[in-house]
Amino acid sequence: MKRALLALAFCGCVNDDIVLYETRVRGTVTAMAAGTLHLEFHHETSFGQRALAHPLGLFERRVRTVSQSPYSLDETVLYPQQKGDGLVIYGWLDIDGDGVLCAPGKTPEPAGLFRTVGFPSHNVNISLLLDRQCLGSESPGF
Amino acid sequence: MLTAAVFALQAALEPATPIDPPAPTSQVEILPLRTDPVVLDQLAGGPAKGAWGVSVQAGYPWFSLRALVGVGHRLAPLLEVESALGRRFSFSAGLSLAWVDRPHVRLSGEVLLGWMLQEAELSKRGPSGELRLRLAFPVRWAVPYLVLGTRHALLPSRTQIIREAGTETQWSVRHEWTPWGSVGLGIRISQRIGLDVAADYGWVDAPASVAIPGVHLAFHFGGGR
Repeated sequence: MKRALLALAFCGCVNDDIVLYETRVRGTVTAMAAGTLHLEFHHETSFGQRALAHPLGLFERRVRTVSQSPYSLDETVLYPQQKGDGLVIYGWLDIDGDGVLCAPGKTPEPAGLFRTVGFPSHNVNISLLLDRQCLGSESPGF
Repeated sequence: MLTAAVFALQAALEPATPIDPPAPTSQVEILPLRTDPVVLDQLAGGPAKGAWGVSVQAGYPWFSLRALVGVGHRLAPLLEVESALGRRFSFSAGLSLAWVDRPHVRLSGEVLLGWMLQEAELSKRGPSGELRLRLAFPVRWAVPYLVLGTRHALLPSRTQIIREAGTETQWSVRHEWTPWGSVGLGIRISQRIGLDVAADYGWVDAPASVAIPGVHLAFHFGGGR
């Protein structure tokens, strides 16, 4: 009884109850050029379930300088467990340094997407190949 | 013989030797004490000992139920339940104390502690407190009044980080400030019944949000006066 009352009082005063799952993402990023690597960490699906689930859901963004390929990746991210399922890593290489993926009249820039298997896991190994020109993370081309 | 009869009659008619008037006895005149109308006590706070009152307020967006009872020295415990359109609730208990109590001016302060609960799209909950000033200028049946308050709520949140080595829990607290102002007119119907109408401005989560003014109509009743 006492424990139930404590739980009631405890639950009654919590506003945001956030659960973050720490994941270490290691692996390689392969591209045919050098530049600034823009990484995005997404849920595979978010906001809904099954057929109504929304594809992707960005929760973390990182920027790294890539001088050689393959680039060795080692990133630790906090994955919001209540916001969706699965883990997808998307990356694109900013070759011309304008911070924009493939603006009109600019150099085509490579992008790639990797879907992890067996997530959640505290350790994820990936091999991200940036071999698609100018594709955004939501592109059906992936 | 006749002479004796005349003297006897004269003696009978003459007033008796004056007697000292009786000493005045002490008299206590019981006068009714000045009592304040319930509408004044409810709007300006600090009712006299034994005087109690209840206010029922409806409006947009604020509804409330408020009860006070005077315990002496113009001090009064109070209970208050407030709601904004049935989506935000606060339950408070506190004290009201009149600092200035003159025939045409009353100034009181209130301190309240309680719990705030908001449901809807943006849910919030946590302990709350308020400091409030009430100023009224009673003139005959009218009680123009002003209320200024500062409300504070603490909104605790929990973050759990699940690491390979174990789960770490972090707590954080967000402060929500709600400055408050009301200006209105109370109407004394009788000593035990009154009404008031007022404009309210409660800026919830200031200055991060935008608030629109509200209005209310309240019915006050009570006793012990």
